[in-house]
Amino acid sequence: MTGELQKRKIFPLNQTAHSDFLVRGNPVTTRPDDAVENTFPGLEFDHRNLEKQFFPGLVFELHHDEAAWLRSFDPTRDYPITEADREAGLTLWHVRGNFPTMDGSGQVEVSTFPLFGMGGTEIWQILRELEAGDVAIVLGPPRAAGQTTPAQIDDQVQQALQTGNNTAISFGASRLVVLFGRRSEYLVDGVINPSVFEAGDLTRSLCAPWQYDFTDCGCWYWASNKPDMVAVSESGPQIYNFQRVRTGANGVPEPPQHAPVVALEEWTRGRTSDAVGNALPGPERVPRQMNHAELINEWESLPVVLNDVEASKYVTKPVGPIPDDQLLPDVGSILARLSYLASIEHALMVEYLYAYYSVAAPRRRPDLTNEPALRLYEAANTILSVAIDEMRHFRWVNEILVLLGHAPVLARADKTIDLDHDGRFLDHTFALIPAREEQIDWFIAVERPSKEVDPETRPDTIDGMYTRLLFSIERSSEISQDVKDRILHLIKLIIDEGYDHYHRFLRVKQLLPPGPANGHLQLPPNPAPLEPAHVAKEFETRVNRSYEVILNLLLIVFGRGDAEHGDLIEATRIAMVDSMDVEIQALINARGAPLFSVPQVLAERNLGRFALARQKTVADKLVVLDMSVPKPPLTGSAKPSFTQIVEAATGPLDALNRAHASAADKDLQMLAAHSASAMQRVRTRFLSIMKSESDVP
Amino acid sequence: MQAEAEIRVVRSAAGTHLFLADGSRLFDIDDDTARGIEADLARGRLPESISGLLGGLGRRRYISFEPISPPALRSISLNVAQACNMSCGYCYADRGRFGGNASLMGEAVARHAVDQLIDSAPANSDLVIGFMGGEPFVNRSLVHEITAYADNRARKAGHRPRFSLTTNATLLTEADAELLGRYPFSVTVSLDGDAATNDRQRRLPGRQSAYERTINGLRLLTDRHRPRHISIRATVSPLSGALLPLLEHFFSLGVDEAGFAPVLAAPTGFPAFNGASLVEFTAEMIACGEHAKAAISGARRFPFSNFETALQEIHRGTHRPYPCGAGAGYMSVGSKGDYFACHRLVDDAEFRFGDLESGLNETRRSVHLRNMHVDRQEPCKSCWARYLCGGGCYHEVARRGRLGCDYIRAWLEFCLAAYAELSRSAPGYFENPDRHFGQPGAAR
Repeated sequence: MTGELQKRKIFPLNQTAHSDFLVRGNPVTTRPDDAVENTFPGLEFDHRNLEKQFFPGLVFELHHDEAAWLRSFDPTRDYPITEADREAGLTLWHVRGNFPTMDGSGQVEVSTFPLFGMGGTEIWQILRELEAGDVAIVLGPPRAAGQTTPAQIDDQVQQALQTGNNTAISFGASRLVVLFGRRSEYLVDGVINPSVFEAGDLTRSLCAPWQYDFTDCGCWYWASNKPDMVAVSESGPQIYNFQRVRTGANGVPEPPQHAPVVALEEWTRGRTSDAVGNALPGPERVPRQMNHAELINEWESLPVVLNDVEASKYVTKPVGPIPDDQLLPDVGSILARLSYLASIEHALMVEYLYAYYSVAAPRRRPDLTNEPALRLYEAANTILSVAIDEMRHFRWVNEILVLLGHAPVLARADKTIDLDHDGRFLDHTFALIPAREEQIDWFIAVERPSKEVDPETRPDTIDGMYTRLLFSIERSSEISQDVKDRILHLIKLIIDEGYDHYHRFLRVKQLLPPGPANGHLQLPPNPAPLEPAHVAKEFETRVNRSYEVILNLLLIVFGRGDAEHGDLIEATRIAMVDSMDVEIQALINARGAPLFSVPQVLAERNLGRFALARQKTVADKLVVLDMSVPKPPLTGSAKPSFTQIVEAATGPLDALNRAHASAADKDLQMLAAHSASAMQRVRTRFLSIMKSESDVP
Repeated sequence: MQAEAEIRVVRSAAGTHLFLADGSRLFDIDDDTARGIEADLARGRLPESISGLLGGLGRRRYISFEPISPPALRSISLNVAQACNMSCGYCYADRGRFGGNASLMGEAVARHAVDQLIDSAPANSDLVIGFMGGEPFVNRSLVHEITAYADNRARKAGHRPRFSLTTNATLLTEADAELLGRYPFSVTVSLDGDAATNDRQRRLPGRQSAYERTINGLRLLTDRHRPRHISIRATVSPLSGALLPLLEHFFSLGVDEAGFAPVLAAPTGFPAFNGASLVEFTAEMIACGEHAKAAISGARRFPFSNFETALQEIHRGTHRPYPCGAGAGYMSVGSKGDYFACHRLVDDAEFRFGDLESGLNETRRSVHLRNMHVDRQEPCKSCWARYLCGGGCYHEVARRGRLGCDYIRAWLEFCLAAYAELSRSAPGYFENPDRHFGQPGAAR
């Protein structure tokens, strides 16, 4: 449908055309193709209203937190529902109908979704995927997520679903109802169907769109020109509320200069006095947030925000070109630089991860009154967010390498290298250091934007290297325009995100205790491997194996080219979140520290269909992949099957899981069981994605 | 449903537009959609992309294929003088005699006609009584008498009467002008150009300049007793030459509006338009239209009636299966009391619909409305412009067939494009022309 609407842009011009096309109820902004799909509560219209009548003759309430309630029904349709049923409370339990398949092919298949125990918005998200055609629904009294029903009732529901007849089933004091129909079409020729929606139906839950939405937004997801948090000066911390009252009232100076706010209450109400009630001097006061009325009246006076800094006026400065002699001369040196950067991204990612795990922060967001814990929680999670970005950069650099015909680089740098032999580089040896002040200072230095660095006196930063790559690739005559377009886009993304990392680490520094304090740390610097007899030794090994499995999987992902990247990366996340994170927590609880030991990666085996330029890879000193590892013998064919490739990738953990399944340590047993299940899911997802293609490796 | 008869893609400086014949609906569309539609039209297919906008196939059409039933009369013209003081070469009326003998309408006939109109109209109607000729002021006393009579009677009966009159103005007296100013008259003065152009094709007996006499009459109206609306209608022949200077000349005379009608049917010997000369006429009309368009954009008055009428009709989406109300809500009464479809068809037996004594012949009117429905006409039923045009003037079609179709299509297409442009550059013009031209509430 979307494709068809995109093709059809027809707008009425004269009066008969207007009366023909528009006077059916809703304004032109309710054309679904013109609307922004969002619900908090929505921009042009509240999309939840579209699906309230997805089933003919029934109206559901999708704005409720606990269920989709039946609000009314059409008594002329002979549904086996009475007003008493509805009064007693009927909610959506299940929906069966045509849903898009998960492969993005645009095909649909008949699927059934349980909807009980979900909130209205969650249910809406499922219903909006429901395509035209036959629909069956099951209604019942309110039911919690984990609540089961007697087998005999389930059987009756199943029977009713098979017969295809509208059925009511007695269920304790209430009733279950199974109904069949065709999904209501909410569009007629691209226009909201006037027989389903009356004028105003779609906009009724909007109040003052935009402004109201801005205040109420529950997802902290505003556009970059209306961010939630801003810096008030160039290179200042991004900690100020963009929606604050800017009158300078109550002695609050503008721009404000207060310390980061960690309590939501202060954010909304402002702060003019300290905990014991003494008035705070102006600069320390926190201005309160604009309320609905203020925002609706004054939102247009909010300042311009560029690069997260608010200002009323901006003068653009053209970027000075990089001198030709600074450009990388050929694709060979571009590839060398990219390979180096891949290894640096990998090394940084591990440093950030170690720093994240080193903070003794609560796993869940602490109570707002517990400010010290809240600060640690925010600091740790900010570091984690950068680590996750770094994983994405690692992936993007590898995508670029593959696009340029190079093998993926999984190597991890152990130190920085003066590639230009000019002494201008950030000299650093990578190490596992907890989040103490000098380590955060290093993170800030390495992520510092190159425009803040005087190229004559200060060393090259990561950002500077990407900028140089950007110009070099742009100018290269060896790279086709098509490839350039895709590569430059990725490099720009990396540069932009790096700028954000710099600010996030500045914020981390403000959140963590200053100076040499280390009371907040739970990991040592440069951890040594535990003695074999140590109680946590097996946990330590498990973390190393988890890390190895992730690298194995990434090698498959990178080697498969970019067609399946998204899906495969998602599958890899299972290994990261459900395996490695759990293993590391268990290790830390047992007083150990993650080592992230560089494994021997089975490169050739796992590269899948990517043709490995073996000699080049080996010759490239930057790549630390150990190519000397002998290939394990393969049974049967000379070429590994998909199954063999994926099994080899998860192999290091599988072996350990089998061994630990019968371990004396109950915690180990539990970890092994958990991990075995996660690996099984990883393999299933990988194989289902890879086998959707007809080629064999 | 014939694709090319339902759909026309129109391009203008404002973009690409889709005109749908049914309902005269005009849309903005993007280029891709337009190309897709044109590709389908070239193959004679109805474009799938806009199927939902097309009528038919169970959907309501704006124009039904069923003819309308004869409506009540709202408007009559009285041919008070089937005689004229002038002898124009092209005159359809053959000096007003309509091919018969010159005759004047008697008072009894005129009163009877007015009575019949007033008595048969639905309550509270807007009624129009027109005075036609020949030259109406050849029968001056009747015009004066019937105007007062009709105005009085109609208002007493609860109607709102208005009058129209078409005159060459050469016989106009101070008293005539006073009458036209006092009652709600819409006066059309026939004048074909400046002195040279006009006098070439409009002659007075003897050597007198018709132009000067007309101007003198016109001045009585514009300067002393201005009627509610005064316009100039110029008949254009292949001899007329450039039209834009004529328009500019007309506006210098202080009228509210001026426009052109080409001679399509004329007595033998007079040069009427043919295919080739109509192409030149089309170009002249469009040149005037471009001028008028630029004027509207710049909020300057340049009231070229052909153009402004077309714009307003396109804006409203006027759509009709007949060219005019002749034989439907409008009827012309001959000097002897017979009803004819219109003033140009007086004394044409084909278009006679009864008389005052026996009343309107409803059967003949029904047959007329059935036969003249544009969807029954050839080649009209396969033309996208048919509901804007209506099939062409009955009089001209009966005399010469449908000669002007290419002209009408080209002109309408120009007007559609101009409408699209002006609806962007001067939207206020369509909401309130007077305010647009900076004269709030000014009478035109």
